[in-house]
Amino acid sequence: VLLSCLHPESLKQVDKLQDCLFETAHLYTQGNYEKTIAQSFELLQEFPACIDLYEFVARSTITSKADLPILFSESSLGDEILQLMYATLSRSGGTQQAVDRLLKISYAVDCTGIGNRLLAFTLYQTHQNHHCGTHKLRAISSSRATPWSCTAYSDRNHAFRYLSACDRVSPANLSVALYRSVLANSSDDETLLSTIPPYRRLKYQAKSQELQKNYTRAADLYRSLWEISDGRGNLVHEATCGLFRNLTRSESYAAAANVIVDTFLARPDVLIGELTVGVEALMRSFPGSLKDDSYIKNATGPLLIYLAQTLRAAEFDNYTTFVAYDDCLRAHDARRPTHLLNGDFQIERHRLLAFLRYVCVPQIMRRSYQIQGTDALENERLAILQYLLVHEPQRKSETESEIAALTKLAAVREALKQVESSRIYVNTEGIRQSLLVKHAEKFDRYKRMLELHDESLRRQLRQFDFMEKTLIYSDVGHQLFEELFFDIRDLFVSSKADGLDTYLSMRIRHGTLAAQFRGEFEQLHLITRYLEADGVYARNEYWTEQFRNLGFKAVAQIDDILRQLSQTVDDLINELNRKWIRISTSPKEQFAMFNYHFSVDDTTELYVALSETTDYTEFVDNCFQALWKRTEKLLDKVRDRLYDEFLPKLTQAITKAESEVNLISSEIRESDFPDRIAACRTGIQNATKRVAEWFTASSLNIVEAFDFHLLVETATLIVQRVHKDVVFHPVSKIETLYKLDGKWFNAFVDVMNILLDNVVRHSAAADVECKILIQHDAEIITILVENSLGEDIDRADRLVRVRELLSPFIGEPSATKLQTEGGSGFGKLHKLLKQDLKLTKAQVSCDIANTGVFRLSITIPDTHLQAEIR
Amino acid sequence: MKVLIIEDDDFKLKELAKFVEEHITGVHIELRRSYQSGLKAAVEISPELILLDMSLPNFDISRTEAGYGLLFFAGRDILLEIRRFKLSPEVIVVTQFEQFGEGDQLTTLEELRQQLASQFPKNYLATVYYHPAQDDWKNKLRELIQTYLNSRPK
Repeated sequence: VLLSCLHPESLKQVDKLQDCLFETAHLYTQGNYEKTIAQSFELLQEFPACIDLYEFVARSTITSKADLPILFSESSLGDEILQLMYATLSRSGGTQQAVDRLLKISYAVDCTGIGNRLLAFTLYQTHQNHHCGTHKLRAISSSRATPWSCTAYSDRNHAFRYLSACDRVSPANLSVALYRSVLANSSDDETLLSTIPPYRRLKYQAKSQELQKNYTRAADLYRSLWEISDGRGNLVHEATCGLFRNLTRSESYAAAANVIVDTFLARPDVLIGELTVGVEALMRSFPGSLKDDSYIKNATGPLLIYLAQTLRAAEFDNYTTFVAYDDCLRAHDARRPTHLLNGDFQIERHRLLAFLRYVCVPQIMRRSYQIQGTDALENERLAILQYLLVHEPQRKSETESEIAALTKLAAVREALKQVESSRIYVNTEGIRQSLLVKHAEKFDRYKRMLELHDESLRRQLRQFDFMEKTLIYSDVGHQLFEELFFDIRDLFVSSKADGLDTYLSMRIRHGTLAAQFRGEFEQLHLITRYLEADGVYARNEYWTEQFRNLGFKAVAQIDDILRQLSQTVDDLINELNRKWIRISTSPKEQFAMFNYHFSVDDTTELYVALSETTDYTEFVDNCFQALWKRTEKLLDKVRDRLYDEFLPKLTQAITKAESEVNLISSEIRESDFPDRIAACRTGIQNATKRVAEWFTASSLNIVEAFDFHLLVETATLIVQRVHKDVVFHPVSKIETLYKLDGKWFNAFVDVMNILLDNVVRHSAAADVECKILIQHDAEIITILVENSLGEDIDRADRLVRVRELLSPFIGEPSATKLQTEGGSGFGKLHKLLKQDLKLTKAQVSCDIANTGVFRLSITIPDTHLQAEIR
Repeated sequence: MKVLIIEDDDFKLKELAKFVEEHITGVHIELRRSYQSGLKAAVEISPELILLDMSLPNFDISRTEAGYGLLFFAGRDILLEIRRFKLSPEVIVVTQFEQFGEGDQLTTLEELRQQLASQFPKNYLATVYYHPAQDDWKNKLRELIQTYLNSRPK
């Protein structure tokens, strides 16, 4: 082909293939597609490596709207190439995949003529006007010299010479005549035009006008071509590319943008390739020109930007999309996208739907100050999706998936709110049940005493001193009241099954509080963990590496300071956990912040206040109320102390470490150490805020019913928040749709937390692998948690230790283990299953497989857990 | 005179509010803690001066709101909106970080200063580096507020 192009005079009939290619080109230009396909089919039997013939077949099939013929055996290379070329040209789904596959094949058969020709075809289809000249590559990579080889010339005269040579090979060839006509810009050659199909006539007329720089006329002709294309992909593609090209050349940018957006909405595959480059050019050069009202109102701007981002044609931050989104809403006097759903707005329906689907997404809408808060943001998106569900039924499944994902996210967030709000908890119903019969009998005595209206009858000698001659009398009613009240108080604060101390231990002190604060430091690599075996804090590997250039001595000094910071942080947390967040009923207690000591004055006040209460249940309720009132006051103090004492001490420790480290070398200021310290300061403030929120007595009851998905996701999120320094994404397989009553949610979350927390703590890995399997079969629910043990862990020893820990599952939960923090949590697990969830037949077992996988399973009967079906 | 302080660090917020109260007579201070509430206030209450943090949560964090993530360049985004709405407050960025963003978007404080000065010549006054244990920021902020007060039409 090259030789023929370089020396056109040498062009002659070299063989049957060349002769036939000229003839096939003639038939194709004539519009005789049936014959083109038949002839190509015949030739392919003899010349299966001639890619031009595949293209003739694919083009003719699409243009004549025929079915693609079967030329080769199924799954042969020839068959695949034909299918892929057809998919590329037809632009009706799967085009990008076809293009990618064709490129792959062309590279795989690179050493053959097929490779070059396939590459040329693919590049030409995606980048016809690429500056590197894909049309030339196409022209010279044919199997033989053909009429279209003339497009390889930059010089028109040379091209004419070549076409004259073609006349010798194939006289009166229509394809040669057409190329000559285009080159001569003589698109008015009626004789020629009458012999070719109307769409090719339009195409070449448009091309001719374009060459003459009559861009507006060319655009009109391309638009006409588009109109008669009748959905045929190759024609739609040529028409759209031509229309876009000529509109931008005639500076009709808004119209060009509309072409792109309409094409995207109607025929997205057409955008692959050249138009992507066009979008890039349009966005790069002309965004300022795209401000006309119709452009904004009809959502062209935001859709074009979305498109540019999706096609990766241009880099835009979300702010650019947001401005386009906001401009569009403002043009319609709407504050939120949902305002566009009801009313008569000047926005075409298909554009409105696309705007809602692609642009009105949370990551864009989050910037609008018209939508306040995560709930409002997600509700806005949900309302949009509900609308799309009705108005785009063909995309029902896609919309439903997004609704499900969003709903799940909101459900987990709500569930988390409930868990976070329930850390201060007392099972008052449990306490009520556990009050002995004797308590009610004592209440009867108390009631009878109150019926004695004459106070002197209720007097009883309480103290006497004959020497001093003093006698102190007390009110027996008051004395009985104190006994009744203190019985309730003691259960309220200390009942192992239901009391405040148990829940404080389980939901706050058991590693949770420490993790909230430690996590802020750990994720910034400012503190390390205490190594029990060595009795020291671990070396800070991160900063040792970061500051390596400062020399051994400086690094050692910095490490010492950071180990000291680790120690101080732990000391402060331990003080908070062990001294402050404690319960006491003694008047002499100095540190415990949950002090439920009631003085004689306090009880007298209550005694008077409750003296009218004669019903036992009401009396117990009133006592609970008094205890909650006290709890509220104590919680206020805890929150104040967190802000006023704990946080400043923690901040002081950070500042001290920062100043000491800064003194070691001036280079430290150039590192990211100061920024991490600053981030840590803000981080611990947020952690304090979060923890302070735990100390509120108003529990939220949000979850009415739940499935195991919600349970696992909520517990996972909690554990992820606690262990910020590890990667933890358990793989869960939940093989049941069983729904549980919401009243069991918090306890089940506690159960899952203990299991998952143990996985993370004992995996000794930065990236923790964990599998969760939940099944429900024959009225038994099985929860199985699996994780790999680290290489260094003695498996046999671990199994023995875990089995020892699980041994208390026979019998009643151990009171001591319930309020012990920092262990495996199995004592609490026992209590949760047997007492909170009332699963007396629950069983817990474990084993370690040969592969080193640790498995812990819980089996529970489903007797009373199911949610009511409403 | 209305001053808006947009800052999510409570300690810094209190310090700034106290400082402004001490240095501007008859000042009315509005405090906001997120990108969204800050922007809303900037648009709706028309402050004359804004002290602006650079990295902020999207929404105000509360018991029922986790904030919807941290926006590293929230301050710059608020400035973009101020410019878009053609609002006229003068803005002083007060930050305790020397670097912003992550990966490709990592920007030093000096680079950010230059960007803000060239992008927002009508609103941006200066950037002050804040450190809770140092007083340099107070001197710098005092000077800026003084200059601002002197340049205001009487």
